[in-house]
Amino acid sequence: MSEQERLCRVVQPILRWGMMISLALMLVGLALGIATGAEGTEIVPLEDIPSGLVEMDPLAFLTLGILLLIITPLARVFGALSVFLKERDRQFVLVSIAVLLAVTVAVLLGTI
Amino acid sequence: MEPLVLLLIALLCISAGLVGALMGIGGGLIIIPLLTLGFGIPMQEAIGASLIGVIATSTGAATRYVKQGLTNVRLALFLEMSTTIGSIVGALIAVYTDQTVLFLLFSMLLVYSAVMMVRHREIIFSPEDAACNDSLDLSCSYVDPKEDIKVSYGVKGLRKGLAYSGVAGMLSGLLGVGGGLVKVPVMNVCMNVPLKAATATSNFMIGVTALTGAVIFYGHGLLDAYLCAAVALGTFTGAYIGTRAVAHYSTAQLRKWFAVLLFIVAFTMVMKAFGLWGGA
Repeated sequence: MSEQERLCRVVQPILRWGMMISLALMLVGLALGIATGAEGTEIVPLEDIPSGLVEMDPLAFLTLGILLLIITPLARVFGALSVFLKERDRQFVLVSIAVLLAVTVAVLLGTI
Repeated sequence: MEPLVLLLIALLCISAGLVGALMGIGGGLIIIPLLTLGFGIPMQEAIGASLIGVIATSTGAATRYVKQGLTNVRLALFLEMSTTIGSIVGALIAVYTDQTVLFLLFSMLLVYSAVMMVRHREIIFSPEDAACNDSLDLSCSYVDPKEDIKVSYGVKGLRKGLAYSGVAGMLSGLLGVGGGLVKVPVMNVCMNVPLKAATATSNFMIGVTALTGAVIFYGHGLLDAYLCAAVALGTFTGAYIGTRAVAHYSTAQLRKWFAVLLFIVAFTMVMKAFGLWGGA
């Protein structure tokens, strides 16, 4: 099996499951929101998500779905990195780390 | 927001996902005018929701393209090094530059890309031709879903590709688009990547570019949860259909549609620059 095929095998399930779970969470959130006619449309802070899920708060479901969607492309960079590490493909280990570092810088610049 | 309005937004966003998957772009160029002009949603909220929709298009399309082997994962990661840095720089510049200048510059770039798309004939290099030029081997192959033949290609012009991808990332941060409009022609024209592979690879990359912006919007609490969900569900559905439709279009058709899209967007950008449509 070539490296390209191995990459596809690792990356594809990450994208698919990330997508499916986040869509399911958003659908539940939308259905709950429409059924209960709950107030507010703003996303929930990170720390309030678990309690919100227990209370069946539609916004907690929607926020978790959105977060998971945002994280999915990042998760596949980690997935690719794991393949390059296993293959001892030094050049692409460095490339993946460079991408992760750049995203980290963006996150830091964005949250300040 | 009314459930019916959300449903309508989701349905209309299907078109953004469809075009996004077929052209290798995020679809933000459709989502933003749709939300701001069609539904009177404030620009910031629209951009936030659009970024979420762009990630959904990218991920939805990539799931299929990666499975088909159309996506060149190594090439994507290689170019992502410069798109991410570019998008940070772009976002920082955007704060200090006059929007009219930006819109005009961008529309010029689009017209240029469209002309290149129409004039250029696709060239396919064999991996042996290109591999010897660079120290990094990015060659790849895929089975064309329409012709059912194996296409092998080498990737050349790595430095040029990296530089232009940086520009693509910068425009993305600067103007809030996915950057696929620059990446696809650059990969095809400068790096000799077949259009279908370039489209799939660009789609794959856009997820990481949009993620950068989306995190900032999330951090500032600028995302409307219901709107984002409606847009994401719509674009995902469109991307799902689009990745299946791609098998029925030849590369030449894709190229023509792409050029038409570039001209339309360029026209819209000029209108926006002069405040004739939606305000700049």
